[in-house]
Amino acid sequence: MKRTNKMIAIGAGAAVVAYVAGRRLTSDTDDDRLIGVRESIRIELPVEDVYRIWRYLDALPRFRHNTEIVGAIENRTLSWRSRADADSAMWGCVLFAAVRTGRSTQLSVDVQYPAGRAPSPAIREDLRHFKQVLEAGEVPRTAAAAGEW
Amino acid sequence: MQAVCYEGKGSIRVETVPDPAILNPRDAIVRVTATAICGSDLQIYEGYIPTMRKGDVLGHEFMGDVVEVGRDNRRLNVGDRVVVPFTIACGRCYFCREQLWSLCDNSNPNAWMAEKLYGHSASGLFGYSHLYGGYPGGQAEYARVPFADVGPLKVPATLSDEQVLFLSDILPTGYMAADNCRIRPGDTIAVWGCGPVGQFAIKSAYLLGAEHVIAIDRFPERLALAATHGGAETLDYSNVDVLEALRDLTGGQGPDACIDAVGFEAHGTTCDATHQGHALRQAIGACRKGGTVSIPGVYGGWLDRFPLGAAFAKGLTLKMGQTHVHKYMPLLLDRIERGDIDPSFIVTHRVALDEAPAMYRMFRDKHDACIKVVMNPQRRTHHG
Repeated sequence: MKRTNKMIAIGAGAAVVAYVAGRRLTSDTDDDRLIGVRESIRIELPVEDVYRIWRYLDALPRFRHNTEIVGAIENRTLSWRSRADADSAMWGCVLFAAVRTGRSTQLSVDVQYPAGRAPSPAIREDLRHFKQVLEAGEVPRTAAAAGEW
Repeated sequence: MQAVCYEGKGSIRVETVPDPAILNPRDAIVRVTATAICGSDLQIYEGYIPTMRKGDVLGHEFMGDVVEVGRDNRRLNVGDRVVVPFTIACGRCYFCREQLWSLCDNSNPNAWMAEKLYGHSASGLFGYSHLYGGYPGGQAEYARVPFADVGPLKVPATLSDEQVLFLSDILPTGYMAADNCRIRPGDTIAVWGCGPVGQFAIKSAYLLGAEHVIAIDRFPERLALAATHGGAETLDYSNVDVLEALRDLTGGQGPDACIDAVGFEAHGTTCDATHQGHALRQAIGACRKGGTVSIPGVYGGWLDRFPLGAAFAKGLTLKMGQTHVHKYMPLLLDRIERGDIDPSFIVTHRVALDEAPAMYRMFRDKHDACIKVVMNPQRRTHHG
């Protein structure tokens, strides 16, 4: 547990950096209340693999699109914020923790949006798709249009 | 192609629908040569299963020939003859790696729905509502099979379709029900429900070393099959007090394990959950202290006034859930090849696909001593 606590502390630090950076970005908006969304998910791959894929490859969850990385500790945490030309300001961090004696990775994502912009179910579904791509190599689907239900 | 489609409560129709296509890299398309109607299809037919939509293709017990494979499927070739597990599983998540295939994390596109209802989502299922993924089923000329590089089992040409078709669901389901009983030599096992799953549970209990199997039902043809083919002692619950009879047969101790092969649609129940699960309540009452109650029968939603006090007082173990078909298929194919079991003994009706509406009705009403219907979608009787 000690290790996990340490990681949360590191992640929280990264989040603060991202948060301050983000605040500066949106300081002149009318409503700068923040909505925080936390989600976590487990992936059946070692932490090094999950980190590498998130950090360097194209399989990023959609909610991270048009963002830039503002902090990184290898195999531990990444934090990011939206780019200056993004539609909406957003910042967040993800912690990578090795669990089940290293066979799985637990991702804990903390995302901050301006009020009224944060679709929490969408973040959960994005994370789920990220997990599905990493584990199964594909996102399950049927012929019926997705999202009808 | 032709497919059996859900139209609404109590209504199914054979319709022309678009042929399935490869949607994902690990998919395969199977030309269906045999498909069966399952007792759980009747739960859809009767309107008990939520999130069914008009036009959904039914069926989760099917086999056939591979006619197309996705680009990442390196295990199947066009022309392979395969049986398809009714549970859809990725083979790579925590649950699949733990052999808990029916609890796969990655095969239900509508996982969020099941999470709202039950806290977590189990695997996707063929032809079994949108809660389980909305996958078109196998009561059709062709079916799309996701994760076809880990699911379908190749079967040898020496075995007939009827001998291997039930590897898709009910044979592993009956076998897992018995396996969950942790049978030791000398054990007595009681089985509620002598439908196809109950019949296979009886056979499996003996294969796994039971000394005595007692089968409970009320339909004479099902009890007769359990006695003649299964070698079980039978109890007609419409004639005898089951609890008393089981006490008598076990010197008051009760069966070492009890199998509920009936599920929540036990005879005489309504949609009102309060009085459902009659077989399960009886199984818990009958089971010996420290014994196991194994539940292959399907339950959904909530069950009120559940006799948890009796289960607790007697220190029972309850085992349940959808079958981990992938885990059991290879060993059961081996059993079939060795001649330990020939699952085709349960088949009472063999028809073409266009007879499905009449067959659903007959199976539901248990007319004509109907126990198991097998349909061949490649055969035609009368075109409509």
